[in-house]
Amino acid sequence: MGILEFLGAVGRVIVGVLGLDVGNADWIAQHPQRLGIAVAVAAIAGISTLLGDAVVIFFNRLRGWRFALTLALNGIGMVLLYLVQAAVIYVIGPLISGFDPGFTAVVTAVLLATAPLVFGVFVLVPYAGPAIAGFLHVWGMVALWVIVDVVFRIDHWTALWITLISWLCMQVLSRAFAVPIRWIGDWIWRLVSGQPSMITGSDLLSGHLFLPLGQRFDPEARS
Amino acid sequence: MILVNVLIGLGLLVLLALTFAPLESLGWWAREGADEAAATVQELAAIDSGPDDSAYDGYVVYLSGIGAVGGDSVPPEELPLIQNLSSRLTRLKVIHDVFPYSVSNNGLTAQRPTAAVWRWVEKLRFKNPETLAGMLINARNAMQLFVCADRRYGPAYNVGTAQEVMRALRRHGYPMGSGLPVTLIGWSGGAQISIGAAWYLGMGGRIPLQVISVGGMMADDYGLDRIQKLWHLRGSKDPLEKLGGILFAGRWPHAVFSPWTNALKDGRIEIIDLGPMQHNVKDHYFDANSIAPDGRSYLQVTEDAIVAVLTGEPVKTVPLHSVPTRREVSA
Repeated sequence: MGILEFLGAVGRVIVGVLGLDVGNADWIAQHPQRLGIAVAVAAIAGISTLLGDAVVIFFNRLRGWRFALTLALNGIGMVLLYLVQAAVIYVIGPLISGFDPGFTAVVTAVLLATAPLVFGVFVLVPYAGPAIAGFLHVWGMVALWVIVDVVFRIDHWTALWITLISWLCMQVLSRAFAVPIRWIGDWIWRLVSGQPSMITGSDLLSGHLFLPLGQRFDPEARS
Repeated sequence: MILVNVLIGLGLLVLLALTFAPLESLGWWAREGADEAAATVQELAAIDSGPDDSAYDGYVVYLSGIGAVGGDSVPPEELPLIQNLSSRLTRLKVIHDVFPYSVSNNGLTAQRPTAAVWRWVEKLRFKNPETLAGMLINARNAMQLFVCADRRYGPAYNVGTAQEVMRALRRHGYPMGSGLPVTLIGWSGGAQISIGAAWYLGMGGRIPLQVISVGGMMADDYGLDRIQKLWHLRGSKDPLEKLGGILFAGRWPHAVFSPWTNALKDGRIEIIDLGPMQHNVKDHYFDANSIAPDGRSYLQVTEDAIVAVLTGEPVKTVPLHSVPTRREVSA
């Protein structure tokens, strides 16, 4: 498979996931390069999201290697986040559907569902940015629902259950592990930026690794 | 089909422009803004009471609408209002050299990579004030309005503009700590910039602040918590003023946890319907050729209202359903 063909497949998958196209999900499920394509989709979505979250990097005035390292850590954090979500679906999916598609298929599904985040850079848009972030989050959830439907070969409502339960599990995990996650995140952030972190455990698990959207950054705090 | 494609293309262009809009203020913050802002905030918080050795009873800072290109270049239509206010309010110092759409008071035609483009647009606008190219300036500045209103970028943006307002006050002899009142007059987008900057200018309560909005498009900015009063002068045919009340959710009726709602409840916002003014083109707040039934031009109505607010007199408005007559303009 040539590079152009591969990029074409990535483009087709992105458009298909954005349009919640079930036929496209079937096509990618049979594709020999499905994992590579899914990783490429997630990488594009990740880069776009990181650019959208770059506002905090600006506010913390990171330059050079610190800037690059922050982006890299953000990327690694996103990959880990999606791996956790895939693990949750891999555990609960077979329990509910009685079918085990394999961990790779579930990871592929979760990575593909990040496709709406290719628009993550638009979170930078002033005033509407946080609403765009919320919309993309919901869009990603719906995409995951459609893909879970295909991967587990189940009906829409069962797929919805699996998606919702996985979402709930992520919320529970984010609260249960908020303290240690925050400690690790804060330690890494201090190491990189030399400043206290502004993130919480739930920020980390919601995908907004260094950008707590609801938080009001206030220069008064610096005085 | 072509029209749809053109519209999609335009929409994407606008979205991209909006995406890049905060970069100027973020870049400023990353370069020198954070240090400057910390010093300014400390200074504002530490203002002590000082002597009133000013020749004036108060200071008025005029913040232009989204058509402005720089602090030293006010759009021609706004100039008569500023000149008349200066001559009528002899006990007040009227300042108009702050460019509200840049955190560092850097005009569009000043030292910036895109200065040549803005100079070209300004030339076109000078020849024909209604030129479509002039809309580029409006669009660019309107985006900064949203940066100012954004809860993420606003704090950095607003500390920059507050700093510039403070510098302007100093330049024009405002004695810090004197307790002399400062009124920010914001036309259109300038109203949002005014209430944004008020959050910092009002720190410590040593600068008594009030804001006059002329057809202002405003959000429910936290700055409202730190002003004594906001007078919102609006025209009944002004769609952009109305848009502010729709776009910014914190201004919706009974919005909870909204500084706008709180200020309304406290009686710190007074909305005055001036008359059937539009936002621009014709029959607008600065239109000297639209004559109200009482014989005053719309420019005069706006000017009288501002003077009345500043001198504590009742505002003389125009019936909302009245139709203006057009003054003949000699060629």
